[in-house]
Amino acid sequence: MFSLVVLGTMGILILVSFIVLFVLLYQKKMMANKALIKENDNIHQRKLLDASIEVAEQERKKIAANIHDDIGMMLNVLKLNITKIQRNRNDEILTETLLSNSNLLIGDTLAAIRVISNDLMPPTLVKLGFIKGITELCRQVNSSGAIDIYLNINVDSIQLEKKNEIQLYRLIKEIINNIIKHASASTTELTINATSEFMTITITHNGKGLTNQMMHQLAESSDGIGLKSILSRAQLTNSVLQYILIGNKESKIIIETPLVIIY
Amino acid sequence: MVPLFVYVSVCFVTEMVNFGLTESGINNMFVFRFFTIIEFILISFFYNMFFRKYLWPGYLLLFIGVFLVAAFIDYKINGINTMDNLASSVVSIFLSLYALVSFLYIMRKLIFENILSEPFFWVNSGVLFYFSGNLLVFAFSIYVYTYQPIYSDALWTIPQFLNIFFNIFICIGFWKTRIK
Repeated sequence: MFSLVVLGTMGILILVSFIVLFVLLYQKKMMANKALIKENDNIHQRKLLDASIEVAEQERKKIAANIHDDIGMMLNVLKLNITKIQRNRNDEILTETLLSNSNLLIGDTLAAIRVISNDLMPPTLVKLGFIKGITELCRQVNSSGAIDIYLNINVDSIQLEKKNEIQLYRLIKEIINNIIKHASASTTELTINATSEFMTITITHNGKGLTNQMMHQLAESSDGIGLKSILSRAQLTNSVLQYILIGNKESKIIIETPLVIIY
Repeated sequence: MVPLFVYVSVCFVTEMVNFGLTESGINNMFVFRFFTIIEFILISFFYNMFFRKYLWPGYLLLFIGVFLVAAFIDYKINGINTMDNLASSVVSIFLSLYALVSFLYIMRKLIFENILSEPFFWVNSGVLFYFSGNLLVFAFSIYVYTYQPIYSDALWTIPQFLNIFFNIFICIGFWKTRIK
């Protein structure tokens, strides 16, 4: 009887020990896994930060190049014109021609400044808000003839945080740029829907698309700076970004952004 | 947790019927045979709710099918008014296997954030504790019947204690479900 009691007790103790050991091992493994996820998350955050810094640097370079190549060149010509006028004050015909040419150059310089300023901070977006800004962006793309964009806006107004408006605008602009440059699409449809808490922007096109996995792989590659900036802006605005491939002829990019809730 | 709730209700009704039959002096072994079948099917459905995300769903029908064949063989050999040792052993083996495989999946896939607050963990621990304990008792019973038959009645009180622990684990499972 004694041996039976000992064996039975041992059996039960083994079972209890198994469960306790399981819990301890599980919690240890879960903690290790959490640490790994956190580390991966930190690496991802660092990469996105690097990408956003790189994007900002590239934008600065682009603006500097625009100022140097367009405005700088036109101002140089204007300076030459003025010097020529000063040297040839008696030559009325030449002076008249140079003045007329200078007037045209000033007009062109102003237009170039407007383009750069518009690129830096779109006035429609700043003055009239996100919906009007996107409408203007689509109008500009349509008038450039690069692609046909059909815009469906199913909301009257959107309550977005001001700092998020410009980020979302640039995110959409970068996506449209990518579609024009890489997707070989002929038409694109941009739809904006909203509930009381979220705004959903769906961009559908008939070109070469990407899946979420492909998008992240490309963004990881060294030349995926545009895609990195898209991911970075999506994270800055707390948006959820999805790249969906529907067969060979349709692709969707869905951006879901939280709205400012007014109580 | 619905199959488990039904299981607990069936346990309650079975205990009441057993008590009534014992008090009336009627052999209640046939009740255990039906109870074992219902018990295995209900607990299998409970596990199916967990495993359906990870395993081929046909495994459930396969295990139930094998068990029903074992239960039928047991009935044919021993009749309806005897203890269903074969069917009970098969139930204990299968449910211990379910519990161990569940633990393996939980560990490998790290399914739960906080395992101690998961009802499934508590019920699974109870199942492992009760059914593998029963299996041990069944293994001992062969030795006890052969060499120390006077202790055979004492041996069968062990499953009663294991059953109390099983019910405590189920209660914790229900409690954790309520909190969630």
